[in-house]
Amino acid sequence: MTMTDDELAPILQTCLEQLASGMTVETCLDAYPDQHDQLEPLLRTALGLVSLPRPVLNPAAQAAIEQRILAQVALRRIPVAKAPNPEAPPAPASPPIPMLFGIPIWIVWIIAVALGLLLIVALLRPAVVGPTTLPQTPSPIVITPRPSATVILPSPVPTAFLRSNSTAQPVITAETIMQRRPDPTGVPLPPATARPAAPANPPAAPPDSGDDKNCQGRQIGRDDKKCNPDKPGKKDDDKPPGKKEGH
Amino acid sequence: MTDAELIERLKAHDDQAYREVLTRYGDALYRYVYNLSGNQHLSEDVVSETYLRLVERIPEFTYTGVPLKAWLYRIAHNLALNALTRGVQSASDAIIEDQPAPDDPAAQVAAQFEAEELRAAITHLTDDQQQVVLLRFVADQSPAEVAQTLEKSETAVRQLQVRALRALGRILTRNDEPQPPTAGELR
Repeated sequence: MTMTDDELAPILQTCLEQLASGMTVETCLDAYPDQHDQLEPLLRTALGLVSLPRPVLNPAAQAAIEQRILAQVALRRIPVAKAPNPEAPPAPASPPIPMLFGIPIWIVWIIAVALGLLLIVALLRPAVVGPTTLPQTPSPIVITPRPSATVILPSPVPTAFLRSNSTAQPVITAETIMQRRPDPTGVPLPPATARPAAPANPPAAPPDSGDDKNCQGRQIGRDDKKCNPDKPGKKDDDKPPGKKEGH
Repeated sequence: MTDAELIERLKAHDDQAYREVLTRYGDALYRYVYNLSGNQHLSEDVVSETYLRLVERIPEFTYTGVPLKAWLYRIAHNLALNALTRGVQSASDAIIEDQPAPDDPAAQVAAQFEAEELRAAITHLTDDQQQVVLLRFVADQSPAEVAQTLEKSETAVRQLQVRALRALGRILTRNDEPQPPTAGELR
């Protein structure tokens, strides 16, 4: 009767234990006659394995291995020997760093000083810069009501602001410019009637030099360095250095 | 000294504990590796390397009741297989050195031949079967100990034992059968 490995395993184990205790293979096989054919080759093979040579480490090799291992152990022991002596007096502890909300106090101080400086700058800036600084005028818009005339429109600065500002630019309206320009058709224009500026410091009159002549018939934008009355550097010299216009 | 005590002393880098381990398991490990590789020098190197691994890894080792030797056998087995895989030749170069001078040289040679044949057959087994055979019949471990070493159940070890012995028997029988003549012999 053929048995499965699961069934044969405990019988084989029993026989192996009997062999180890000095019994013979035949004794075991006689105890399990139905499994004789299956058991016998297994037991013979097991006997062959048990009778394999049992070499031992030769003493020289064993000594060499021992020496090598103990050297490695000694290497690993060194850090332990250098560990601090628990009986030694403790080293003086450095004073604890004061903390505020989990942040070292010196970082809090730096942040506070920086914020203070920013606040001071923000408060002083309008007093120093504000009164002498006009809102930046956007680029002039050029319209051509007539084919040959160029009209420069002023910036949309509120008139009330300009009137109240002593250093304001002269107020030049489109009407003013149109009245001052000679009519290319040859028809004389009526006298200019500029709207009056602030009475305390009347604005300087726009230069009547040859600039106007240069600007006649030109498109601003192509040659606006000569013709633009808001040309930087002429009227904004009182701005703090380093500030740029925000056109 | 129990395994637990031994492991604690090994972790404390106690020289005497390491000597104790060498004495306890040195020959058994060597025999195990030798019967797997058949090479004396390779076996010595593997045993030496096994102990070095012990020194390196003992700080992280946690004793859970599994014998220390189970761990050592696992290390030795893996190292031996790696060495064999790298192409180190398996040769019974020390079998004569290790044995006493024979009274009957012919019987001795026959025994050596059989042993070599058996060792060669072992190398054809699966990895699990090799370990079961060597641990059971060379390292003289019980099925329970083998189960701990291989981290398997005792039942599984007994079944592996049956299959390993049967496979070995087949390999040896096949080797004993007369081989068909080669083409050169026919000429």
